Amino acid sequence: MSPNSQTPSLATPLPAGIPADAPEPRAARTRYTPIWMVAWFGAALYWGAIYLDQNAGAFHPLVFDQGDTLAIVEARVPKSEADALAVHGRKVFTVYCAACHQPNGRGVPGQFPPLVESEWALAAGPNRIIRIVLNGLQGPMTVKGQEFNNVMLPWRDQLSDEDIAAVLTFVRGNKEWAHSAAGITPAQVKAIREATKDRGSSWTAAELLALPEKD
Amino acid sequence: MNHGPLLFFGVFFALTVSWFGLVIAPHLQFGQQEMVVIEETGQSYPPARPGEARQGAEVYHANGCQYCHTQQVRPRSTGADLARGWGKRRTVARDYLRDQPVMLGSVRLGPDLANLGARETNAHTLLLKLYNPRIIIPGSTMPRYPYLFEPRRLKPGATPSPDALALPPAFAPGPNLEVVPRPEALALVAYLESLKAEPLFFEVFPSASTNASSAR
Amino acid sequence: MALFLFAACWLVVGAGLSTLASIKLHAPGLFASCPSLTYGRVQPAAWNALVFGFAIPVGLGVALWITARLSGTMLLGGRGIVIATVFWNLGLVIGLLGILAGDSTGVESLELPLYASPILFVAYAAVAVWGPVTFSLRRTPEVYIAQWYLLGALFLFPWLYGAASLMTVVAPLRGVLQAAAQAWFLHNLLTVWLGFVGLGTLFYFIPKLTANSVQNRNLAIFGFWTLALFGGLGALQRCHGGPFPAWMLSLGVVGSVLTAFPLLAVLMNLVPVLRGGGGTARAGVTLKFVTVALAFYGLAGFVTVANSFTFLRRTTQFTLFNVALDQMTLLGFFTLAMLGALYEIAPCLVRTPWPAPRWVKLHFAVATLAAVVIAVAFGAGGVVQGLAINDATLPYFAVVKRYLPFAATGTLAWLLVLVGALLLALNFARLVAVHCRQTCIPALKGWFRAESVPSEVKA
Repeated sequence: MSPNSQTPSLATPLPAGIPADAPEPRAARTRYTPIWMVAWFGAALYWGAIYLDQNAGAFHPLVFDQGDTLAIVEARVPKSEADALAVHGRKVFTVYCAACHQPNGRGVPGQFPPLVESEWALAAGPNRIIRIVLNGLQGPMTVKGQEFNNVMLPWRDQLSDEDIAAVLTFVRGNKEWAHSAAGITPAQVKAIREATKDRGSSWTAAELLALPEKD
Repeated sequence: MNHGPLLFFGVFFALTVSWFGLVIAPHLQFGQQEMVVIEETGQSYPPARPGEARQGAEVYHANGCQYCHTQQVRPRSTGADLARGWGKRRTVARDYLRDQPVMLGSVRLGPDLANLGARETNAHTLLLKLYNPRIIIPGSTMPRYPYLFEPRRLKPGATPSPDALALPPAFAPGPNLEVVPRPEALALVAYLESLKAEPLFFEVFPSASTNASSAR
Repeated sequence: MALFLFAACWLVVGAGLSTLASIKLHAPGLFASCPSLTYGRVQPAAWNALVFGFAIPVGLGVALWITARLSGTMLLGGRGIVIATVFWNLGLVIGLLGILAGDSTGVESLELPLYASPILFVAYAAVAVWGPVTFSLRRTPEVYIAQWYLLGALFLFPWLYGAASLMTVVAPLRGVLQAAAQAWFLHNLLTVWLGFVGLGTLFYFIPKLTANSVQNRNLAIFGFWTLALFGGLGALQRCHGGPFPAWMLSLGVVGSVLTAFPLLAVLMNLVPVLRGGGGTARAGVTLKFVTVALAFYGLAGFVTVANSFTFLRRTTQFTLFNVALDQMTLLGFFTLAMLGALYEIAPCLVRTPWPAPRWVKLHFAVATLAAVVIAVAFGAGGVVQGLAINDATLPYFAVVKRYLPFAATGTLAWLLVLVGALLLALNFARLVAVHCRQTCIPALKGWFRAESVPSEVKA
């Protein structure tokens, strides 16, 4: 490095060996950005857009793997049989049961017992509850500590095994009511229908309580 | 043309683009992400770490564990993490909702730790590994952390305390000495044992073509 | 000047710490009982010392000097800058001691504890504000290319550091958004801030030292704005495979690939300038420094673009390869450019030549070699490590055995950096001593004799 012995006239010193009045090199303005570069840049932007289209999952926050879409993610969620039944069961409930038990499942105090958090609905096994739906219920009954004395009509002839299984699955597993009891299959309904096919009258609470909850 | 303000605003705008796109937009999109309730167990996920584990997280980053270990499981298409058994599924944003700071790590000089609590349930093994990794894996290059433990004088013939490490003879501190973990070591192990990212929920169910089952 | 002095010291410290950290990678028993020296604390301390101790101060110093030169005016605020520098260093020392004591914030690249980072923030602002002030008082109408880059960088840092610290440490965002903010900070720091300062320096020195001018100003404008736009967007390709929604990762890939264009623009502008130089007597060590720096910039840039593609990234993610890329930018491109500038500027500021010009050439050789060794060793090691990680049949211990030789070679590189840093520090010390002997002592004598003394502007 050559020594700099002169005192430059500008206050901020100059690198060695450059005369004090040398101007800074200025960039030439004569040329323009080459057209091929602009073209490639445009192509790159296009590629970028396509890449985002294919890999960004439509900018959804729950799509994590590049290349997936929300539909693919959703399709992976296992749909148990209980889920499908519950969807049907909700419809059955609305048409047949909500009139008395109310759409919110809480019944009418003194008249129609609630289903929400009912120990009858959420029993460990389906024996009693299937019988109630098939043949109806009458007489005094205690639900959640409240007394009821009313008549529930039988649904044996109106609802099929699938319908009954669906609506009971819905009632027992409805997340809105914080229920998570196990669902009921049409096979279980069919078995009990067979077992009680000769019973003509509705049940009373005392008779049901004498039965075990499940086999 | 007055270049100064043009430069300032131009640069500001250009840099705002990246800030907005990478930090603010995601914050607006899922910054309020909530915990999710796992169907099978009814528990909300991610669970709150017990107090000892939270202190352990502080020990973790005070000692810079994240400079060698990551805490994220890559999906099958991106790496062999799942094939190595480092998790049952990839990790997603929801797994880190309760972490502060989020120590994802960026280099794997050692194995991934996202599911360590599920892989290694023996706390004593973890304590031994912290005391001297060469006990568990001979020739390991992981640093040892003897200052997380303290040697205590043992009267000859007295039984060792229940906390003391069962060290192999080659690593034992000497006659009449036992090594007892300090609270920092116990907290760190509690934190490590809490590292689990297993429950399945909406965005992480594996595809049917993989052999990972969805049952918990 | 003060900035440069301190920067040189920090280079030594940073290099020393990095050497220690690197040694611990393959000899973990060293100093094991001392909690302050465990790898997990030494590594962030080393990184912070290098970046906040060396890179940012030297970048600031060079930026301010070039700004003053290009504006044709005197740099204002000399005393204030010195005081602010002292505070910066104080804050950094406090912060580093904090990290070694275990107070790290846990956020990578933002580890300085909260009792230290505000000091740095304020000190930076106090120093950097003089750049735009000097620029606004410029006597030349032309705005040089180098000027844009440098001003951009000066504006950027407070907001970058402030916003990132805010979002990760002060009022942390929830969950992985923190990690996104941290990745944004680190990437912007390395690609945009270091890139702007380094490129500004290159755009100043290369035409100056070769007496050619840059041919295409419009291309340079294009390069500047595309780097500002896409440099930051590429941040999330660092987090490939991570727990981020697919769109963030994809955006990172696109942004990163598009940084090929500013890279091309810079290379297309500067390489012809270098080629056209043709043996001017003025071409000393500095020209060598900046040429190699440009080469590293190009290399690092191209590899980054290639590395953004997922089919390559799945092998290199979480390996030493990404460390190599970052070091190519930090050690290769930025440090070499800054060292070149430093060796050119410092003698002018004190109007004394370097007392040991041979050491300068030696430093060049050593620093270049170090950067090459790290790039090659960690690059190859990273690929080996990545392939081994993705081979599920290998137990992790076998993976470690494979990358260990490469990591050990890194120690050699850091030792070289340390040697170079020591050379610089010693040369600097001698320079200051000579300068003091020449100027300060007569000045002091003058005071005693009650004569008027011209005050030096120390920048």
